[in-house]
This record gives sequence, structure tokens and C-alpha cells, in this order.
Amino acid sequence: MKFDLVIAGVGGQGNIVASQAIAQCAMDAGFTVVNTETKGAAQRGGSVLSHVRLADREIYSPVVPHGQADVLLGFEPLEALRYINILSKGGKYIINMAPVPTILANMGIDTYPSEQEILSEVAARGLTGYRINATQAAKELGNVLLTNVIMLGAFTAIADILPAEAILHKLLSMVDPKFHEADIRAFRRGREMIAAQL
Amino acid sequence: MFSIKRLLSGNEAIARGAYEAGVRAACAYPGTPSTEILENMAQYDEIYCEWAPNEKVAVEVAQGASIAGARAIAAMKHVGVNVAADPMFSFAYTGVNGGFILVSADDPGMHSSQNEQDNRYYAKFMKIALLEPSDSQEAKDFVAAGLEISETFDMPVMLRTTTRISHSKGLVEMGERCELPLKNYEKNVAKYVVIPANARKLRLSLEERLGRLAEYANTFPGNRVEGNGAEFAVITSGIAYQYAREALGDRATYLKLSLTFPLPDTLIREFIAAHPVVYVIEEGEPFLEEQIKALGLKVIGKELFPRIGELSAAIIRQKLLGENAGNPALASDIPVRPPVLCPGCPHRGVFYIINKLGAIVTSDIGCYSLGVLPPLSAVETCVCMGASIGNAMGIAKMRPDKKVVATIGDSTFLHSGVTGLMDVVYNKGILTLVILDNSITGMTGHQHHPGTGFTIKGEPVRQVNLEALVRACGVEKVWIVNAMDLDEVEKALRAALNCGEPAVVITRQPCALIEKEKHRTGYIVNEQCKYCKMCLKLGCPALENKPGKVSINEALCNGCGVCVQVCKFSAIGKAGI
Repeated sequence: MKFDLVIAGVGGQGNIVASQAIAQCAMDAGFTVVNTETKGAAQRGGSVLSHVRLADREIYSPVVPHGQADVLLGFEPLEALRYINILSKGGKYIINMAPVPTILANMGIDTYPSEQEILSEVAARGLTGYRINATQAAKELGNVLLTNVIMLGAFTAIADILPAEAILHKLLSMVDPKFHEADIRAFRRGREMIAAQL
Repeated sequence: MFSIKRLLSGNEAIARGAYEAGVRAACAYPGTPSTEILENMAQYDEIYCEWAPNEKVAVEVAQGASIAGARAIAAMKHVGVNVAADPMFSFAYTGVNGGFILVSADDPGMHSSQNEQDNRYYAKFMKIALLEPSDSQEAKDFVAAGLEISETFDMPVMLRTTTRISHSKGLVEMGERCELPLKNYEKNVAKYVVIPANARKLRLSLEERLGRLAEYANTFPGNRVEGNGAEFAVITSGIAYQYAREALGDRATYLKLSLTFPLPDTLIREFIAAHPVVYVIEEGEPFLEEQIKALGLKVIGKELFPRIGELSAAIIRQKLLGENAGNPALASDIPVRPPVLCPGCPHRGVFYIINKLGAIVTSDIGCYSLGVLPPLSAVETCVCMGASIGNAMGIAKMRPDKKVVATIGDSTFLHSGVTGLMDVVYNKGILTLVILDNSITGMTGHQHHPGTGFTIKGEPVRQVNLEALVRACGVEKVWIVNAMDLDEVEKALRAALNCGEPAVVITRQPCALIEKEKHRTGYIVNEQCKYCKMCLKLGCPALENKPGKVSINEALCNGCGVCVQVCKFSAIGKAGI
């Protein structure tokens, strides 16, 4: 048994917290776990990719090889597209369809691709998955910073490799108790958003 | 005994390994991907830890601790070793008292660096032992093993990681600290004073020590044959070992090397004799391959595998198995998302003003290197720590008709900018130095330095006074301004550029990521916006270009107010006012 997850997003979206909750939870469950991220200058708004690999045997490369990920969580559509080729043929994606414009797109130097362009690139690969607007849902819950927790909840609705409650508990153990109530709501909201599409 | 395992990054594992191995002194200057080593070390009361002003000082302090009889570590990114090279070369001659490890964290692929120099060559050049861990467990284990080697063979040891080792997490078995007494210290000038008469003798002893270590390398447990696949025979080390096993699995037999200088020659000869074709799979330069070929042995290496960038399992599969990843390439070039100066960054407004001055602008290593990117596009050179000042001096001397501005951060100025400034005054340079003082080491994630007033362990201390320091270097024209007040910045810069002598402008404001925690009120764009897009020239991520208008992303804005000063139509105001 092996399970490979990648999380693509923008620095500051809470990508690394989400990957740590899953990695720590997998370790508690007795799996071998390897995890890495490209985060050099990520807190300065760059592209961030986290890799979480778990297995019931030895794992070698900390980086998920191209074409092998079981799940891609795209916290942002352009970043999901950038790393879409890491997904395996039978893999699933969940993409938060809320664009974060790049500075160059803001300046009119680059063109941020349309939703249609992004979706057709994904479809051209025969890949399937789910699209949600986690950013909008987070705003409705009162804080845009809950986006990553919604995405984490959504993940647990499509991957049964680890119990959802265990991931939630691990997440809560990593954050200030004053955020617990909001995090629990956001986590459940993410699960519901996927359940509605199943 | 019940074993406890934790999920640790390579850097966390090195810190833990140092703690368990009885290390008493740890010194570093921050630099990606090495920074977390000292940050994690600082949690242990048993270890004296310091952020040194630069890597050379870090090595010298750790060397002093070793001479005094303590186990010691100095940690730095690959280019930091360039700065620390001077004491290191002599350290190989003198050898150690307490064990000493130099951690070099290399950055293949240049995730956050100006080059991808392969520092394994430094170990060979310095004539010191080299260990290459391939995961977090080895990163921890090799600290203890390295200190043993250091003390047994009387030499410094380089523990060389790469970004994927330093920043990847894996399961690590935890142990207890082994408390070691200080070794005896005795005055020993023949060992520690490298005047030529002593150095000539030490030179001979160095070769003798290396010879003994070379023999030991053949029996070092980290150098071993793994697997028994019949299709391929592979010699590999470090992260490349993981990629090779991922790609080739049970189809190959591996000679996994960990102590890679001096190379275990007998082990390698035996392995090559037993296999008709042997591949050397290593990331970066052909460090193993060149040495193996110099033994007169035949291997296949860089004629097949790239020396540029990071290696991957996919590259190995493609080269040895002819397999391609299968996915079609993306149809179009998708827009890049480079790192940018944060919303509220105090450097942004300063660069915006500098752009108006028509000067040649040199820069340095830090967040402000990002000032090179559009729309600011303010920076014209960025070479290495401290180079902005020397570069500006050379340009000013050769092009006296041009105004020249050097830009450098507070931490980088203290690291290696001060000597450049002395040169400017001493050799009568006419230029303006802007010290972008955000009172922290920003790019690497907020480490203290001699100018912040706190140690790595958070103890308050006296701080370097930048103004007094530049005046002590002989600069008489000094301005200190608020980096967020664009008028003040512009007036000071124009006066400095026109004063006809060396001038320093210190622009002050704390890093936006620290200020963010104070929750300043954000701004909004009102109906007076004429969509002139002037504010977008600041390149602030909080300013979004919507059809027909600019809007401010409230979640990102941290209320610095620089855009308010740029707007000619008073179209930006406080939210709710």
C-alpha cells in the first residue's frame, strides 16, 4: 500500500499546515511517512508545492514522482494546473476555483488563464476530480484563512486512507485553541462540499 | 527498549543529533536551506548557540570551542562556506580537540540561492572528511558518527546536505543526550599556531591523518552494498540514492556511499570488478565519478545524467529504462508566480523612489533582491553578501558622471558590508549607500543579528548602532528616514546623491511580517479612482487589477499606506472612514 499526495498553492495559503496535519496523522497511524516542500521564498507569495508520501513499507524519494500522485489538492487554480502532471492517470484532484492573480498578470505583462482554459487542460489529460470554491466558503465562515482547513476537510471526503476525525484532531493539536471552533466548522464544510458532488 | 520516533526534517534531525552527541557549541549565520539547524538547536539549554555576524565568524567561534575541548558545530548554506573557507583550510591542518562538524547545506536547483556550487569539492580541497546523509535518520546519525571521526582522525568533518535532505521530513528514532566532559585543554603552539615552521609539519601530518581515514572509509558502515538486482549496478550517495532506489527498485544493486571523501577505494574496486557495467548516479557535479575514474576504473556517469539542477526518479527512469512520465506537456506556458515583496514591505516605497533618481542601483542578498522584478525593476546587480557596496564603488570610480546607489539590508551590511563602506571612505568614493533597515534578517524568516538587540535564545543584549557605525567608518553625511514616508525618503536620497561625498541613508521600518501581527487597519479604494494604475507600479500583491478599477485585497493589505502616497486622486482611504 502506498499513497502519494501533493498540495499546490500560493505562499501564505496554509499549504504547509495542511500537509503537516496529514503527515503527522499518518505517522501516528503507523505508516512510513516522507514529506517535503518547496518553500524557499514561499512566504513571499511564490508558488508552493508540498509532497506527502505514506506507505506500509520503505519510501525512497521525498518528492512524488511525476504521474504518481493519488490526490492533488489545488489551493489555487493556476497552481493546480502548474503541477497537474504529477497526478496519476487514476488520481483525483480537488481544486479551489478562486484565482490569486500573479503580480505580472496584475500588471498586464502576463495573462492569467481563464477558468475554461484551465479546465480544458485538465480534461485533456483524462483526469477527474472536484472543483469547489473554498475561498468563498471560508469568507462565508468569517475568515479567508480557513481556506486550507476547508480543503483539508474536502480531502478527507475523497481519501479514506486516514480517518477524517484523526486528521481533524491532529490539525487542532497544531493550532491555538481559540481557533478550534472555526476550524471544526470549516473542516466539516469542506467535507460537505465534496459530499454534495458525490 | 521502546523506541520513540518523530517526523523530523533533515535540519531538525541534525540539531537533535548534535544534542544527543553532547555538542556544547553551535554557531551559524542564517541561510536557506540551513537556517532551521540553529533555530532548533537553540531549544537546548545544554548547547551554547549563537547567530554569528557571518559564516567566517561562526566557524572561528566553533573552532575556538573545539580547541577548548568541546564538541562543536558550525552550520551554513553552501555559499556561506565561501565566506568561512579561510579558517576551514587552516583548521584541516591544525585538527581538532573536541570534535567539529561543518554543516554545508547545498541548494541544487537554486530554490533560494545565487548558484548551485557542489560543496563536496570543498571537502576534497580542504582535505577534510565528507559525510553525505540521504535522509533525516542519517542526518541525525551522521552527526554522532562525524564527531567520532573528527576526534579519532583529528580533523574537521563536513556534513553535506542538499535542500531535499534539509527540508524533507522522515521518521527518526530519538535517543538520549550523551553528556561528555570537556576534553583537556593544553597550550599547544605546534598544533594551533600555523606559522610556516609549524604548518609544514602539520601539512605532513594532514596527509598521514587522511591516509588513515581513507582506510577506515572502506569499513565505515554507511558505505555498503544494498540490494541484489541483476539489471543495473549503481554507485550513489545522498539524495541521489533515494531517487535511484525509487526509479530502479529491485532491478539494481547499489553501492551506497556516505563517507565520500576520502573515497573507499577498495570497496569501489570490488564493486566495479563484480559488475560488467556500473553507473554513478549523483546529483550535481561528477564528484564521485571523477575520483573513481582517477582510480583507473570505468563507470558511466555524467555522459548520461545531468549535472545541472535537481536530479529526480523520472530522469533516472528516462535515462536507464527509456520510460517517459507519460503526461503530455502543458499546452501553453503558464504564467510564473515568482516570490514578491510582501504587502506592507518597507523596501517597496524605497525602491519606488530610487527608480525616480536616474541612478545606477546595485543590490545585495536578501528580500530586497526581489526589487529586480517588475514592476519595480529597480535593481541592476546582485552578486553575493556585501557585494553591493564594492560593486557600486567600482562603477562610481569608472563612471564618475553617473550617480550610483548601493542598496543593502541591515543583516547583510553587518555580515560583510562594513568593510566595503570603509573602502568607499578610504578610497574617496562618491556614492550613496541605502541601508534598508528592517531590524531583522528577513529573507530567511526573522533571525536576530547584532543589530536587533536580542540573541538567538531571545536574551536582550546591547545592539550595534548603525548610524554610529557608519560614522565611525568616516561617513559624515548620514540621513535616517522612515521608509514608509515617501517624501522623506525622496528628500534624503536627492540630498545624499548631490552632496558630492560618501553618503548613507538608513531607511527604517520593521519587516512587514513582524508588523502584520500588530493588525494595522487596511485601506480600500473609493469611487475617486480614475484607474490610472499608478499604484500598480508599486507591485503590491494586495492591489488587484480588476476590470476598470483597482481594488485592495483586504486579507492581504496590512495598512502600510505607501499606495495612498502614490495615488494622485485621493482614491485610497482607511476602511470605514
